[in-house]
Amino acid sequence: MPTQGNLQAQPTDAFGSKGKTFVVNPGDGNVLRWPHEQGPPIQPHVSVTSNIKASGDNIVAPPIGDFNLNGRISSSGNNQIAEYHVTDIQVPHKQDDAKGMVNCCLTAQFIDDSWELKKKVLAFERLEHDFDAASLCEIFKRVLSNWNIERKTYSLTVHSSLPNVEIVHDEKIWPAGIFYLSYDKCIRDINCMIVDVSLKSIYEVYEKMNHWENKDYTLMNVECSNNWRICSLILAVVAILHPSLKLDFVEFVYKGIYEDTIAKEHLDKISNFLRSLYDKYASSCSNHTKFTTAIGDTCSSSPANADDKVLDSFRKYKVSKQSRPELCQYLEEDEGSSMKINILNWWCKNSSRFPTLGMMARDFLAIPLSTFVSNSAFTTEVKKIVSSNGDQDLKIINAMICYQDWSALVKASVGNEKRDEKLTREPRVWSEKDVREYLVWNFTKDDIQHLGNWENHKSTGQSKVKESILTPLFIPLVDAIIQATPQVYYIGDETMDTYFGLLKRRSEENPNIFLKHDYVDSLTMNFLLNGCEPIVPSWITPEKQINTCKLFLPFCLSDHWTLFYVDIKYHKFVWLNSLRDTTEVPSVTLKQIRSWCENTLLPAMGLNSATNWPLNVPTDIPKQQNGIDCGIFVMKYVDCLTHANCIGFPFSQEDMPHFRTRIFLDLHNQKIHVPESLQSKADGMIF
Amino acid sequence: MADGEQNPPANMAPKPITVMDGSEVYFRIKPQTQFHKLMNQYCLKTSLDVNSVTFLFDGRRLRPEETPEKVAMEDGDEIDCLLHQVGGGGEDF
Repeated sequence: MPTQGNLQAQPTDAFGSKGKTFVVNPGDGNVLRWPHEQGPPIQPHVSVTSNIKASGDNIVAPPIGDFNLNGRISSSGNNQIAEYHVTDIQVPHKQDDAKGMVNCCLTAQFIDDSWELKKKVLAFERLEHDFDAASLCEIFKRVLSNWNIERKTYSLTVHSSLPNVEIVHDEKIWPAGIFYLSYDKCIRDINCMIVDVSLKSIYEVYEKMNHWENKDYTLMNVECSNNWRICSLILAVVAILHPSLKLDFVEFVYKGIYEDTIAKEHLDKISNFLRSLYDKYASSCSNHTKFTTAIGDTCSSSPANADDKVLDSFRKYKVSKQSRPELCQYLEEDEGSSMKINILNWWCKNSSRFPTLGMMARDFLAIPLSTFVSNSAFTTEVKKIVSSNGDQDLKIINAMICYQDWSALVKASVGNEKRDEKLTREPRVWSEKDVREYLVWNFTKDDIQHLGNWENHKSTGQSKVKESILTPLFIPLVDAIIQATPQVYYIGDETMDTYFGLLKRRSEENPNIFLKHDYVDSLTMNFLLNGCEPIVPSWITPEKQINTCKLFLPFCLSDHWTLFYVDIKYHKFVWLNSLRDTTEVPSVTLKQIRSWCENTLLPAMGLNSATNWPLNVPTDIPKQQNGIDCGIFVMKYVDCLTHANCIGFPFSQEDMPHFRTRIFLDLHNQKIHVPESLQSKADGMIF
Repeated sequence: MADGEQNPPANMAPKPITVMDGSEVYFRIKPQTQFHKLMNQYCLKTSLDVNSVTFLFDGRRLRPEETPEKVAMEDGDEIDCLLHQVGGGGEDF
């Protein structure tokens, strides 16, 4: 099994006695990394026993017998937000015993260190139809403690169609220090996902329904102690944290709704809330002293005009006189009123200037506006799982849903393009020079000895490899022989397949040096090109092909080897032909392969959106200058392509004698050479 | 024991070998029997040189010393038989 980067998932319970126990690793790119987190990333631990069979064909998760979600998080930093909400999923239940149950998903939403909004499913639960807030709270508490993120939970958004929604706001039931939100009832008709434009959208809705509700708008009433008070305050804070809206916009909106005197009361409440929040963050933010230096820098870099200098000093003085310099500075700055600004990008760039507000923004901007819109893509998938496994143990469904979410398979099947960005941790970055150095690596003393042994005892069958595989590679390249009997140099399918097997193993054994890839046997391709529909090998599954970057399909047509491959990461098909004359592209053949990939092979890997991927036939690749080396070219194309970031193929016809010997040695040793210096170098670069 | 038979008895485990021209030959084979017996039988029946063909199962090449048990073969599974190929650069050169 390939090692998967920095994952350290381990079974947390001893299920070994029940059957085979194995561990499901979520994809590397999906490790939930909390902001400012030094310790190990949080991730689900899925312990799986193999003795339970899942029903339904559309389930890509393996059958799961027992399931344990356990998050590990180090305790540094306390400003993370985890957002939980319950989504009501209506599922037609076949059997009576399941009636009246409410399915709900608990999802964490947060902004990570690179200021990207992330969302992860933490648990799937089923509640009695008439559940009360206490049982809901029980679940929340249990999940939070399972994941060990009680202290990192900042707010909780619940579905407002819950029967006892008022009790949800009873703060006695819930753990202290968390905001409880429920917007859904008010803003069902607002179609926005990220909270950065929410107050604006809500105001727009308000303006639309102005005629019948013009005196009081619950969602914007921070005065009375209704259930929406906290929601309204948070909406206002979020608007203030939008660099092109800020406090003025809130003022504008409230004055548009209320009479001046009442609006002022509301606005006072909001600014009090903002200040108290800010103070809370400032006191917990130990490095807020940085801010003063930040101001200093800004001032010194401004135009050195004499008058300006005085003004600058005055501003600096004025700002520092105030009790909350950072907040004032932020509110005073004018960013223009463009709504096109990407709020998360803005905070990414400016959080060093406003460290305290940055922490606030990280928390507040991650609060989901609604449990409806934010979950729609996932809901379909969950429905599918639940409806086809309605009778299964809840634990199994829970495991399947979480596993799907964490393993990025859901994203793949709903065609989410983001999958690519997090597809894999790039192993080593190779420059063309590095690759060249690797390809023409000198033979060691051992290598030369092997060659000598082979020459002397060729017939004794020392090698475990079949002689017919090795022989074509060993015959010295002599022009006369090439002219007379070129066939002796021809590469057979067994040689090709063995070499591809070794390349695959090389990537599995050195995941930090080479790209994860897979291949389809050239004879399977042959089968396809003869008009039969080959069976998809059992190892082509979404779980096993997770993080696979490239899929190689070498094939031999009329005594000529070429390479077809699928670049999963960059969404394209590529055909490489080492013969000089590529004008005659066997379009029928390529079409055949492509349609098999699109319709059978890639869907089997969980990729259904490959229909529009382009087919590239690059011509600026190394070409063979004789009639015997196409097989070697194909092997070395693949060798280069499994080096991450290597764009070109730094070799030519002149290297073929070396390559033949190198491939001979690789096959003979049953292992592709990876120089030790390279291994240690790569280790140093990654870890 | 590999046993080449066109029509397998109903209660035995048939292992069809699909040939590329579409014809099928059925074999029954014990889970512990090595494939080389089956391969030889098949080549004998079809007058093929055993060194000129490869047997594919589940996208992998079967090695003569492997057994159905080892490759997790089940009743009714198909084995494909294909001719070896070589390539150098085409006849155009």
